[in-house]
Order: sequence, then C-alpha cells, then structure tokens
Amino acid sequence: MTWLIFNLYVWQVLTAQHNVTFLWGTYQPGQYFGVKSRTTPATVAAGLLWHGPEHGIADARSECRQEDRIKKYGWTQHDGRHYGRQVINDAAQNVNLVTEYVRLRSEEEGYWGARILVHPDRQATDGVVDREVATKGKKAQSKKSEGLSGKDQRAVFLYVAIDCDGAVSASNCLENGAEGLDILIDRRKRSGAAFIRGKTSDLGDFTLEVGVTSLTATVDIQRDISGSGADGAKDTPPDSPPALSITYWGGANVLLADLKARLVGEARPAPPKGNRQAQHNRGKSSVLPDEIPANSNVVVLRVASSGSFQIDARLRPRTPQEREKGGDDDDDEPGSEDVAEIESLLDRTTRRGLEEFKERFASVFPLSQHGYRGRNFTSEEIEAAEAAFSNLIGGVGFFHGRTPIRGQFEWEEGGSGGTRVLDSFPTSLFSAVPSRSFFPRGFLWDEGFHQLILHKWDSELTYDVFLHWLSNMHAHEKCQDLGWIPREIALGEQARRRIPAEFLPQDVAVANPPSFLLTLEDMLTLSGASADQCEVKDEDGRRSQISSMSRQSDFLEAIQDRLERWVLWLLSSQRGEKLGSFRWRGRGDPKEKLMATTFASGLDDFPRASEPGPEERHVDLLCWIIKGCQILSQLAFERAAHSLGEAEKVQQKRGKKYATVAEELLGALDDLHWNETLGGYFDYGMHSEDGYIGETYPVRCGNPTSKTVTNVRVERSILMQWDDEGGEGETKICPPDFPTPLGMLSQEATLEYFRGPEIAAQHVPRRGYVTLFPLLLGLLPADSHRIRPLLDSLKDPAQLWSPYGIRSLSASDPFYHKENAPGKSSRSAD
Amino acid sequence: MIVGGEVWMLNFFLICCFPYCPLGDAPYWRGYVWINANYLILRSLWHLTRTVGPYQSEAKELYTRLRDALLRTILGQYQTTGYFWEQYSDVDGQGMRCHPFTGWTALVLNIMAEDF
Repeated sequence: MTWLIFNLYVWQVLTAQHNVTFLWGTYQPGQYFGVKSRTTPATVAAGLLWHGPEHGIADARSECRQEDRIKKYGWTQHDGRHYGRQVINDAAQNVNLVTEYVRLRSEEEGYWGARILVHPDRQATDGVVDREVATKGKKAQSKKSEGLSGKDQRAVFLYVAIDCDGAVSASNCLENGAEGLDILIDRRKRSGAAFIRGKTSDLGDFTLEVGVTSLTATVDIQRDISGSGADGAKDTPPDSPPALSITYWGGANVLLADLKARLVGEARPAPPKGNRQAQHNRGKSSVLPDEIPANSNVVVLRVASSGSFQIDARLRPRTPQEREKGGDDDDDEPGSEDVAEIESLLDRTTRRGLEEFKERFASVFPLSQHGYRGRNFTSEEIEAAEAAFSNLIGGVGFFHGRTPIRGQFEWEEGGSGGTRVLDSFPTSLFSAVPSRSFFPRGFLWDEGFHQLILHKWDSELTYDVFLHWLSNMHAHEKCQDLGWIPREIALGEQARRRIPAEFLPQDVAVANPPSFLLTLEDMLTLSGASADQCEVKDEDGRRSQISSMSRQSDFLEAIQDRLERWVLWLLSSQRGEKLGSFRWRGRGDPKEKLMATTFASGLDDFPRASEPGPEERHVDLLCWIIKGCQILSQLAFERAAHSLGEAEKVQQKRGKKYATVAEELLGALDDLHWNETLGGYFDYGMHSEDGYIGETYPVRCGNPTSKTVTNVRVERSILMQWDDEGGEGETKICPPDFPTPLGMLSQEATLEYFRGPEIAAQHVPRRGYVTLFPLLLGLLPADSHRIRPLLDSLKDPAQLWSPYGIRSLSASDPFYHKENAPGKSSRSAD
Repeated sequence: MIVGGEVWMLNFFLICCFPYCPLGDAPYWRGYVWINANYLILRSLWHLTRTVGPYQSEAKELYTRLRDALLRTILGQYQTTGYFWEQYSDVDGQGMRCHPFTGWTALVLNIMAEDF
C-alpha cells in the first residue's frame, strides 16, 4: 500500500511540473492554427479562421480538413515548447499565411505571442513577385472603393475564447471564476491596435494585445519564403499600403466547436451596390457588426485587406494594478506605440526561436552526416525531415472531456450482465495525433511510435504523454482496476463531432498493441549507454546529466506499477484457449464483409482465420506480449540497479519473474505458431485454405400474393446457372416467401465473399506484417534458422518486396488489394 | 414501388451504407506500404547487421536496399505533393489515404538519421 501511495506522490510531482512547462502551446492540432492553455475545465484558446477574395465566411478555413484542398500546410519548424512556424499555401482561395507561435519566457514579456503574415498566393509560392500579380495589386490599390466593398479582400479572423469544450456543464464551467471578455480598440482604428481582456480562475486576469500592420508588397514576402531574414529583399519605393478593414464581434455561451457557424450568422452583407450586387454578395461577406455583449466568452477580430498584412498578438497576465485602473481611461486605449512594442518583441523572439530550432535539430538529428543512394542528404531533404518532425511535435494536443466506454459491467448492482455504454470520468489527454486533418485525436498504438521520435528531442514531453495515457487506465470506476487503456480517445465536443456516434464507445474487452513499451525500451537503452559514457567534461554538463537521470528514475518509478498492470491485463484478458496462446478480442462482424476485421491489432483488415472463433491464436499479439514482458523485466532490473536493500530485492524478483514468463512464451511461439513445412510463424484458427473469393449480386424478389418485395444477394455462379436455364429450371434465386424475381439491382453493389469447402483448425498462411512480428520485434536470436524464410519473403518481389517499401500483405495472397466491402477507391482525389 | 401497374410494399433493403470511412472498406492493410512496420523491419535488419551470425551480410544488403527505397518514396512524395501520407502504394509509390499524416510516417526522420 505504501508502495502505491509513494508512486502516486512521484506521479503528482511530475505532473505538477509538466503543468507549468506545458501550460501553453499549439494544443489544438485539429485547427490550422490554435493555441490553448492546458487548464481544465475552462481553457483559454486562441486561433484563426481565414478566407480569400471572392469568398465569404461560409468558406472560411478553420478546422484542418482534406476537403479544403490546401495545397500545402504544416509546421516547418516546431520545438514543442517555445517556438513554431507554419507555412500555409491556400492556392484555391489565393491566400498564403505564415503562422508563428512563441512561448514567452518571463511574465513581463507575457505568456505567448503569435505572428500571422497574410499574403496573396502567387507571389509567395513562386518566390518572386510575378509581374502580372504585381500589376493587379496596383490596380486593386488604386480602386480603394472596390477594395472596401470586400470582394477582393483576404480576411483573417483572430479569436480568443474562454472555452468549456468537454466540461460536464459548460455554463457552470464558465460561471466558475471566469469573467466575460471585453475589448478595447483604437476607435479610429488607425493604429490597428486592440486589447481583449478576460479572466479565468486558473489564469487570473489576462489581456490579448493585438497589433495589425499593413505591408507593402515585397519586403516581408522574402522573409516569408526564405524564413531566414531579409536576404534579397529590396526596398520598394514606399507605396501607400492598401487600407485595412478591422471589425469585431463577441458572443456569450459559444462553444469553439460552434464558432464558425455563429460567425456565419453574425457576418453582415457587404454594402450593396444595387440590388443585383447585393444578391451576389449574400453569404459571401464576412464583415463583423462591432458588437460585444456582456459575458462574452469569445471575441473575434476580423482583419481584411486587398494587400499583405501582419497580425501580431501577445497574451499576457494583467496585474492587479492594471485591473484597478479599469478600462475606460483614455490612457489605456491601445495605440500605435503598443503595436510597435509587440512587433519588436516578436521580431526578436521569433528570430531567436527559429535559430535555436535549426541549431538544436542539427545537433539532435545530425542528418548532414548521413545520406542515401550513395550521396549526402540535400538541404531540401533535411527541410523535409524538419517538417516531418515539426508537424508531429506541433500536432501535440491537449484534450479534456469524457469518453464513452462499452462493456459488460456484470458486477454492477442490478445489472443484467448485458453490454452497456457508460461515460468516463472527466479526463485529460496530452498526446500527438496521427493526422491533423483526418485523425486529430489520440490513438494508443500510434502514440508509441510517435514517442520513438519525440523522446530523443524532449524526454519530459514523452514522460508527460506517457503519464496521461496511463492515467486513462482509470477512466471509470467500473474499469479502473482492469489495466485496460482505451484504444482511441476523443474528448470534448470538437473531437466527438468528427466521429459518428456508433464509433465513439471504446470496448473494455478490446486491446491494442502496447507499442509504448518500445519507446520505454529505447529510453532504457539510451540511458544505459549515456551512463556508460563517463566523459562529460564540465560541471554543468555533469549536473544536467545527473538531473536528467534522476528525472528518468522518478518517471520509471511512477509508471512501473501501471505498466505492469497493463501487460498483466493483456496476459489475462486476451488469453487464448490453448495455454500460451492469445487472441485479439473484438473481431468485427463478418456480415456484408469479405472478412471480419481485427481493429484491436491495429492492422484492421489484414486477413486472419476465415472463421473467427475462440480457438484462434494471433501471432502478432503473442509477440507484443512477449516483448512487453521482456521490457517489464528490463525496467525492473534497471530500477534494481538504482535501489538498495529490500527494494533492490523486490525489483530483482520482478525482473526475473517477467524474464521467465517471456522465456516460456517464446517457447509457445515456436510450438503454437511455427510451421516447418510452410516456413514461417502464422496465426491459427478455423480456416479454409482452399476457399475462393466469389461475388454476390443484389436481386429484388417479390411475393405476388401479398404484393411485398425484398432484396437478396445471389452468388454469381447460381445467377449464371439460373440464367442458363432461362429461369425455368431447378435453380432458384429467390426465397420461397418471395418467389418471383423482379430484377437485378445496381451492379455497383456487388459484394465479394470468401467461402471455403474445407474449414479446419490450421495455420493461416497469410504472409505479411503479421507473420514478420517475431523478427520485427527482435524476438529471434541472430543465428536462428527460422529467420531464413522470413528474410526470403521480405526479398521476394512476388511476396513482400516492392520498390517502394515492404508490403503489408504478400502480392501472391488471395486477399492482396481486395476491398473488404464495396466502397470508393482508396486513392485520394488529390 | 410499382410492379405491372400494382403497388408493392418494399419489405427491407439489404444494401448497406458506409458512414464512417468515406473510402468504404477499401483495402487498407492488404498490400500497401506502411511506415511504422517498415521502420520496425529496418530496425531489426539494422540489429542483424551488427550481430555476428549467418545473416549479417545479407541483412546489410537488404537494409540498404530497403532504406533507399523508403526514403526515395517518402521524400519523393513530399517533394511532389507537399505532404507526408498515411500509406504508400506498393505499385507506384504514390501517397495514399489521408494527409498530412505526420504520425508514424514521421519515422522517416529516424530512418534518415539511422537512429534505431
């Protein structure tokens, strides 16, 4: 018991520190640009929407969506803490943006700053000012009246909100310690300055200071493209920059998830130019009404111009003295000096952020010393690597809310033992996401792979992500002792709306690969290597090494019990019928599918035994469990090495225990899955190997007496035979209740099925990622003869080798490239 | 519905719809190239090349060939399309399914750095 309490204490200390370190960040990865505080239930969030000329608020971009067909976007530099820079090329709406985020390092400077540069598209993408565009730009400037009508303007909406997405009760959350937002704006709007002020119980009083500047065409575009200062920027003769239009709006009880819909309702039509024009502009304008009701929890500032412009913003705490002074004082009114101050702060901090990122990236990932195809990496390739890393770390998000959990909660009082869906406790997740557009939420087995990259850069971030995932083991009192972790976690309204309701609930019987343990293995190996290297020269270096080792030791202490519970849960809940075998629970319904899916494995439609059933044995799952036990053992020995007395003995015992389990299961791997004749490790189950993939067609049948009809599926061969007999023979295609064939339905609804005359318990020789697991989790000794056929399948172009990488399934397999049910092509349209 | 001038009631309609994935149940892990698995394969080959044994030289050759193939595919597609992808075609190397996918496809960085 004391053991557990001590763990909890270390856990809390670590988390408390992380809550400070990671208080702010670009933690809304599903938005093109969204900053957020890591506070619950109320967060302070800020972000962007935009639209281009000839477009209106209804077309505005906000949530990352593939349908937007943004030509290119993503963080090109992001360090996960202090600095991020993203380039967005929205060619379809003729807008280019550069979004920069800076976490400020002292309270005087503020919490964070953001710089948004907005340009017409072609200038920035081509890297030179295209003559045609430049001329057009001049024309637009000379016709200012047209510019103000809004048609040729790019509009950016900067919002700040006290958001209660994910709170059990949004109104309680807003009332509790939060005060409505207000705005102070330069009334003549000449300086482009505005202050938006608010208060929450977690953060106290704060102000978002905003300064907007119109830019002359070329100067900043060069900075935008090269990202490295003003090389090659030529000062153009000072042209009077195009006018800026600034309007605003505030709303009360607005969920950020609803913001765009609300703005569509609030935007005013542009000033009419005759009736036809007014008709044309309806729904296309986006000018805001300059109104802020009391108790607003969101304020939106709209900036529009036909030319380029820059928005600088900084969020800072507001001191009690400032608050005392109140807001109606004329001295308080924002003006051009405020704009200049924020601009110079952001000039300085963004430059430093970019330089530090480049330097650190080159030192953590020394790519210039590497290459491929016999040459070194080019600078473009190194930039691609920076972008991959940056969009991953810049995609780390913070989510809060409840997640539905499905299970047979039999022990529930008065429960019938049937399956029920319960809402989890309010819970939080700090996690990277697989895709900002398509999967902007946490996925358990993806995260293990994400952290294989991120821990090399920021081990504290990895610790914190780990702790959050493991704390979701306690998502509900009905399952907190199980050791189960939800496979996919969508918290809050914004996340939930992106998934149909039936896919939300997470089943407490269903597992997911514990790939997190691979990260832990990497960290243990790395720290072992650095402890052996006693060449740290100076005192500072030594101190920082000791401190990071002690942090890691705290972290390992905090997670060990829960990791153990996780692996023990896998060992018990996914146990197969035969001792030493394991089976993924939750194989999908095979109805209307070519084969039942296995989402739990992460390899969704990879073909398994043709008849799902309790006798199945999944080789990939056994490999994950063996690996899990090996790493638990390694972890215990590592902790033993840093313990004394009784604690050391306890850890050594744990280490030995899991090493023994792993050894025994390695034996089971060979006994249950190895097939000497076929040469490989395979799944096992009730399976047809002489089966074939056939087609069924939908046919409509009728009952002439009752005048009712029904649709049935008919196998191709039977349909052909029926046709040969002219419909008059023995062969029937309609059921007795509906004996009259009325016709065939659309050809597109053809469904494939798999049927085998001989179904028997046997190995399932579907070669692909599943059969490689013993090799790819490093479970085989380097001299094992069983590696031979695995290597052969990797090298064989008829099986797994392709010139683009190793195939998930052998090209010779009957299921290769087979769709599981009718659908559109898998190739994305763009 | 009307059959031969008479009104017939539609009993039920069997053809199902696919609300979740707009791509239907298109082949997913049935041949296409995924980077998380390829990373693990490369990692295991890397370890084989560093351990004395019967597969050492063969593993080294395969490691180099596979790493070159993956980097050409992923980096090439990034240059062409501007994005990292969820999976890559084993037929022509084109990026498939969703983008930007800087989840485990970002392992391209570890592959470039040969940091296993």
